[in-house]
Amino acid sequence: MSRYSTTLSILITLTLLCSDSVLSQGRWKLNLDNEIDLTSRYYTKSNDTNLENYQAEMRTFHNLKVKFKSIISFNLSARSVLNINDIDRNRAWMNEAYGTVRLNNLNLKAGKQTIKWGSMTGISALDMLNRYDYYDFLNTDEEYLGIWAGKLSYNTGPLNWTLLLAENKNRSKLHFDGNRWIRMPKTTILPQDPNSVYNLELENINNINNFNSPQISLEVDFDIKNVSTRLFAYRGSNDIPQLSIEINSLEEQRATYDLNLTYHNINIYGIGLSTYLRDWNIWYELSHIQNQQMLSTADLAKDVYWNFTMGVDRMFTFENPEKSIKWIFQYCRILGANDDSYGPTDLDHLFENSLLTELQYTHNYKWKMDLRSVFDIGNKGVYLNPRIKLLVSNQIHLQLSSDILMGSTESFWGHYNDNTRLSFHLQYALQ
Amino acid sequence: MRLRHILITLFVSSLSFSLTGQNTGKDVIRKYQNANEIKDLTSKIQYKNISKKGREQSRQLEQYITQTDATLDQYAFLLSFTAPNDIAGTSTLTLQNGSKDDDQWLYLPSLRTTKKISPSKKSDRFMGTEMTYEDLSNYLSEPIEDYNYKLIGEEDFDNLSCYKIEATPLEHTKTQYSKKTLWITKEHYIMTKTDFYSKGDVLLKTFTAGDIRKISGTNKHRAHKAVIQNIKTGNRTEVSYEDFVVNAGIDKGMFNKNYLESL
Repeated sequence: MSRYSTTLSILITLTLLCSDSVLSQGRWKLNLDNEIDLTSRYYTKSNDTNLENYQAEMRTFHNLKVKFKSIISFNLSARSVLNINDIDRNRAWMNEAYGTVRLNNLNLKAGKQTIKWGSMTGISALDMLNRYDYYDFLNTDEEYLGIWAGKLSYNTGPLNWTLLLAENKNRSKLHFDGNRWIRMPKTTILPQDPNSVYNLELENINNINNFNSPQISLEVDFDIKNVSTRLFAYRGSNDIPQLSIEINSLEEQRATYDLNLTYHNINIYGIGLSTYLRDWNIWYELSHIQNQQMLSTADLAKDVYWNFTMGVDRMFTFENPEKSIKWIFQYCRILGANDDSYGPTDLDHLFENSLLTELQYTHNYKWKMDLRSVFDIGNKGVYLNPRIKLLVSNQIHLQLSSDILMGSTESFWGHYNDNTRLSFHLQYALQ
Repeated sequence: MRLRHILITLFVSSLSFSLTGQNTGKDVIRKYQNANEIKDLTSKIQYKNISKKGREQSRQLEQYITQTDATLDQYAFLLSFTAPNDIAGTSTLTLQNGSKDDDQWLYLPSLRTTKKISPSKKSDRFMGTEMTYEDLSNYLSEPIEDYNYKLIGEEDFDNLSCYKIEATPLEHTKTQYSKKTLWITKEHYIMTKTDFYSKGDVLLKTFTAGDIRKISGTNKHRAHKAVIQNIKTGNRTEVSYEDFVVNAGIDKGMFNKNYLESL
């Protein structure tokens, strides 16, 4: 019944919010925009999740902004998902509800909001703390989840201070059942009966919180000539939990188990630098990460390491204003960690020794092409994401893309090579 | 005696004409500068880039401009795109620094972060339009110390009586143009047309402005429509402005990078 009510609420949401409007009344301004995304994907390989190779999904985004002069604004953001193959995915929710206030050089943003912890063109070490719906690991950009937080920014001439305080309860949404990315074990061999194979059945999911304080981060940035410097410190807990299994009962060849999700303290300190050389933007980040990792005994042990990354980006323009090329290149390296103890699905160490590139080519006002790639140098895995986009109008965009995952099964990309797929995407903005 | 008096009068008249021939050009520009001087300005802008083959790209944005240094004629610009949806929320902040490079920051909603970017060159296109950063800067404040202005005649343009002035860069001036021809209306001192010439005096592009209206609450007039036609490439940009507010006192606290995210 709840599935039907969810679907119904999505349809009602769509019906009510089927237009875009901008109203200005004196110093007040109201802006409402809506967007519908239709995505269909075809996976080239099957896996053991019982999901069909073809998937189709509709997502809607609705944003309402009310602004008074340049001082106060209120923002509401609602979303809905309607998946024809996986009805458990269907839902509608209020993702953001926050207000902003500005008093001279002081900016406050408070309420339920999406947060990107890292402040860098590429991927920052802090981005492992971003809250997403991880239904699809390759499409997190549009899957930020709102959390209750307050962000205070203060400009004191040469220095910009940012203090962020956020709740520590609503973490990323993980799908343990019927998902192509999180695959729970189906069978096991138990130490007390090494000759038998037991079929496993998930009974309960338990959250174990070893760190309950709110997340807090402080950042200060300043410019010295052409170099922008950013110092940051974060104290909070891991977003992707440490997983452990606890067997509850054994019955012939069947075992039921509880899945324990353990959250613990994590601290990150670092420095980010960015500058430019002629037309090239150059950026670096060095962070010290005090993390924890779960041993095979289900005990937590310290996992302390350094994360270094550097990148460049540049926009190339031509005499013909329709054409442009943008190139982004980033190298990520983790230093001082025990490389042998991480598995291919350990997301905190996904870019341990990797090269990330993006090449965006705009052919004209209608056609755009893009190639994103990740080369996992350490574990020999490759991810390629070519995309071709047709801007039919400002309202309608069509996109054909592919996600190609390959390489050694020791790498994340090789491990999930059966998620290689072809996608078609239609985006309709109501405005 | 009478003949001598006439000859002297004629000589003095012709001398004064040749002297004021140069000075009058500068006088017109000074009057144009006074008529268009702003301390701050906000408006909505809608522009359309149209390629030679007829493909179009349209954008809507809000602009906030404030003068940061009256002596040096320096400004700070805050631009925030409002449409279409895929770029809405993208904002830029530019702080002019006199002869030094401008400071520029860009906020991209997809990255959710504000970053300092390499300063644009004077000849770079502004936001993909046919207008360059140099044109934008000159639009806010005509660089009177960098050009020699010569009144070369009077001409009607778009049914408006105009002064026609030739502006040639002085030796110290760094510019992409070899000269400019300006048409400035006699009534309100509005630039209604500019021809831009590249090196070798080849006509590069033409700026034309129209729909001149008074800004409510002020004695200032502004063109509400403009077209920049690139003669070389055949592309053009059509711009329309709405809701001009001039010298109403913009809060200077808006012009810092922390505010870009809230726009």
